[in-house]
Amino acid sequence: MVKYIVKRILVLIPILLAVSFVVFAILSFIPSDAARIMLGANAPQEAVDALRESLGLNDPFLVRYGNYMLNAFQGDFGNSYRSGQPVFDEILVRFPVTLKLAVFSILTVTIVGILLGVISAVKQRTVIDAIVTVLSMLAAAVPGFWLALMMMLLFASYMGFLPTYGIESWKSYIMPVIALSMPGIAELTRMTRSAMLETIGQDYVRTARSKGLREGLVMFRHALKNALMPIITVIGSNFGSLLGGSVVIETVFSLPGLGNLIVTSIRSKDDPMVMAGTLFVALIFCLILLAVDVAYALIDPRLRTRYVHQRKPRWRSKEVAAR
Amino acid sequence: MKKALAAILTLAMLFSLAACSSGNGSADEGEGATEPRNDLTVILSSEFTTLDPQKLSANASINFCSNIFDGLVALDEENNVVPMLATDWEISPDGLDYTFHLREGVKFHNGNDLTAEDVKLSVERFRDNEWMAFASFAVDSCDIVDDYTVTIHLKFPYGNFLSMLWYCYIIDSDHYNSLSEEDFARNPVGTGAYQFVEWAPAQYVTLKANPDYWNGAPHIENLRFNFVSDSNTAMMALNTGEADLSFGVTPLNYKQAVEGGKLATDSTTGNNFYYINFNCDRISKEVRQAISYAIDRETFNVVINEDTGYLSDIALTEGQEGYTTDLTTYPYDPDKAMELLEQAGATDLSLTFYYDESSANTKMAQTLQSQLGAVGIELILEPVESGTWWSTFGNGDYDLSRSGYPMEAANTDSCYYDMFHSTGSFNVSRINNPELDALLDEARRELDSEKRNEIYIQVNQIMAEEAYYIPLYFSASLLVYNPDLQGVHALTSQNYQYKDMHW
Repeated sequence: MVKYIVKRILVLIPILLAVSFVVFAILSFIPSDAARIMLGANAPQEAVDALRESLGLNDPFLVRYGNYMLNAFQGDFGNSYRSGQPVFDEILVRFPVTLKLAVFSILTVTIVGILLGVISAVKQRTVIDAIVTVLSMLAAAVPGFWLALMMMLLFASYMGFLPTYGIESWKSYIMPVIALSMPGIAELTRMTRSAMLETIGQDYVRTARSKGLREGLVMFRHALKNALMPIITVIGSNFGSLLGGSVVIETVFSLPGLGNLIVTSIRSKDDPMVMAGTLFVALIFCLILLAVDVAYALIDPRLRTRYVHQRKPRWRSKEVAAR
Repeated sequence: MKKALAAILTLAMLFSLAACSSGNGSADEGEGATEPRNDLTVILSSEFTTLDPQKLSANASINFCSNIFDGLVALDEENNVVPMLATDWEISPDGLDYTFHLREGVKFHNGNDLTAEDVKLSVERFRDNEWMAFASFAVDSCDIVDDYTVTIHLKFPYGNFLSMLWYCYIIDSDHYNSLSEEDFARNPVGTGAYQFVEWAPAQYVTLKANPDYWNGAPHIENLRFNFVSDSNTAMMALNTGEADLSFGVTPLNYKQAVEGGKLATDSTTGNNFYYINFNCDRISKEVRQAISYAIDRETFNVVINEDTGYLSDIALTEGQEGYTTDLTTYPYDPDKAMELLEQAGATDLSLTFYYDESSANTKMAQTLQSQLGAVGIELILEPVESGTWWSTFGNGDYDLSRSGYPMEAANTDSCYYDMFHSTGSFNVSRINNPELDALLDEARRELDSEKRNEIYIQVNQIMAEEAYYIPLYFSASLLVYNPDLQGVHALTSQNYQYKDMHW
């Protein structure tokens, strides 16, 4: 198991290299002038040229990429063009906010999504099932910014018990977390429902019932546990994208998160910030995927035995097929 | 299953109860107090990139810093140059040397005295940092005469020099030398009415009053500036009382505030001038004039600004050098436009409109497309990302484009040279008129304001006659604030001085 994890972490290196190259290339070939954007309409051309030169923007692409990677390997990811501060200073200020939002949201998604999914599978083709299905479709269809503004109107403006913006107290997180959770809840509810429906019809569930086990126990111990694989995949990928930050929700609630930072940096052509931000998000995403794979092994004994016993790494493709 | 549902419902109820009770607590604080408030919360629509006063890139941060820093001079509300850290000054007869006498006994927030050393360093950084080049292009060097006297030498005699000198905020040389550039950018120390307290990145900046301010202590003790980029959110925060003042709301939100009646509002001409550019290399004078008649600016103002903008035939406001109403104008007359197009032999025209994409610019493009369509011109829209617009407008591959330019309050030269001189860095209309170039060059070196005024009137008349661009409007400077706040009104420059505000 440990060997497997180490191997997976080593695979991260080429992945991140490839990401860095692709992002750097895209940024370089955008016909956009960082120096002019920074200095604005009224700056004299000589000043723009001087700044471009001092940022090293006149060097050829490969030279710039080489320099960037050399510095990056020594832990120097450069300074933001806009603020002049080391890029990770800003990323590390913002990551905790995004992390908190992501953790709270994924908890909400997991609890509510699985619960609703199970309920709607158990009560298949009843009014409750129909209501849950309609609600989850609605949750998937409602745009986040609209929901955010409506909640703001209701809870902040009319009722006045939640703050409109900022991250001053835990209350500030309630509305953003709800808005962020909605699409995830919808997806997970539908996924749980269909996965549960598959397992509910299986023989071992019938066996469990005929043993006289309580229905709740049958559902959560036997049926749900076997339906967990696709559920975990959904939770994992949701968590990964939540950690990348959400531009819309962060903007509406003025939260200092990662998504906002990366988009602002792209708009202002702050290449070092975009590079570092994307690499950071890519790294986190890969780590989450790794965690999901490890979770598979913990849940599914068949996979666990493969991790432990098999020598040849042939199982990889089989595992993918098994999903 | 029922148990689970019941548990969820209970939790939800507890949650809302807890939220309710603590919510009431905070509401009391605001209303129960009888003493005047001692704090002010301002909403800024974007964060600063730096608070290094010689690396400020946006007008918003330049204006913000005028509360922390002072310049040698400042502009008053009528745009006259008034003494600040310099009490008076002499100008050499050739207009090249400016000698400033500094105010004595002024202290920085850290207790250091203001001396000529600090001014010299500030002027040199003002000259050397690209961000300030738009204002410092005439500065050559700065010499210390004695502890309280400095001389600034110019590269050429520049009559408008003093009107740009307010951009040069004075920093403490000891403070600067004791920090790295990165730390200096986050720890501003000036001589201004407020001193810096804290900057929480992407959240807020707080300032507190400088009780020893040489020009009178401020009324309000604590200032808090929250960064809220979404205008709807800003409006809600103003409505709930979570914020007291914003000058960055959209025209639509501003109108809502006016109609809502709960918040105080004020509006005046802003300093951003918007216009549609012809590519004069490609479009002849006759066609330019014809198209000018086809434009109904009123509609643009309604569609883009909810009718809040200030229509203008000229890129200047009354009182500025070169302002005149004696101009060729092109009132909306589509029939005349079609007639002129026919005379020019330009029927079945198909033109491209190249612009940086934003919601306002898209509205502008669509309005332009429909108005030109009405006179039989097909307009092909070419939206690009704003950085791309910047880097490629120079190659001139467009028929029409649009621009907005931050006009100076008291300097016609720097804007006009940029926008209309053939070598100007913002000559989007690609004007190349030797007569105009000569006049602009002459005005740049003219020391007498009266004479400059006459030259610029001539410049404006030529440009209007040639119809190099279609003037649209100045955007409005909009202000929404707590009605209890006193000593505040909308300013063209948006250079709000919090020291004058009180409850």
